[in-house]
Amino acid sequence: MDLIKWKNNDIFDPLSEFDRLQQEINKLFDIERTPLNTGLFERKFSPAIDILETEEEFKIICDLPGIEEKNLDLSLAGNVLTLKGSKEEAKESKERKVYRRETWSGSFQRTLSLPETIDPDSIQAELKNGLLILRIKKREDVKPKQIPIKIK
Amino acid sequence: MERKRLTKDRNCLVPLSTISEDQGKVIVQMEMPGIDKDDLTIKIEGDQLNIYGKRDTPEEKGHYIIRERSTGDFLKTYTLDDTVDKEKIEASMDKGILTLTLNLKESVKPRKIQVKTG
Repeated sequence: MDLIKWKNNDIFDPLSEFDRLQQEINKLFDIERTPLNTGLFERKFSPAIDILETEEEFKIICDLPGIEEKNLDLSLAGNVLTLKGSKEEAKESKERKVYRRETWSGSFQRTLSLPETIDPDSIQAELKNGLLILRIKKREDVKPKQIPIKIK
Repeated sequence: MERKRLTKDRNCLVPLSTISEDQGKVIVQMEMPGIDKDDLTIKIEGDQLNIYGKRDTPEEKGHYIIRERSTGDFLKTYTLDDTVDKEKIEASMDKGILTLTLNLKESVKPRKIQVKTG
């Protein structure tokens, strides 16, 4: 048996654990964490996405295990990015018995509204090990500029 | 023990899996997006089959606008029973999906018995 460090940081405030519990429960109802819509038609599945913003670019990471390049369709119209694709089920044979099914197959679609500041021509996509990484640069005129000021 | 040694203080996820049986083989498919075949450790210890996929998430610069993907390593342990031939386990990794093929022992495979006419 391992010793586990007692996590209550504030020994004089034993109720702080309740605060933490309350925060965790509130997090479950946090609307901003869940995607509002997944496109016009609700599909079976909506892949998990991260969107990161840096000073230079936007990076979109999407979990797409088992998706082949030819079955993935990306399109950018204005600043609306649509990820569309389908995953083929492994060939079924009559004798196949499925004991447990957690993975999905079929089609999916996800539409993302990107900020106006993107440069649509600079989009780069890479699919590797079931991970889709998209990079979109920001337009030159919206990048933060540093203007050095000389002190006389 | 194996579990503790491998993962230390790392966050671990259980990969989504589909298990099916087809023609004397048990096929386990596990979704592990972002895992290369070199990141995988598959071990059999006794009747435990350990599958561990190490996924290093680099500290990203910038801030997240949307963050839905969970980070962490993939870890799953299966207990194999006597019907599985432990010497004949194959694994392949393709596009973030690990496929394990477990061969059943000859003695438990369904057999057809011919009826002779006397």
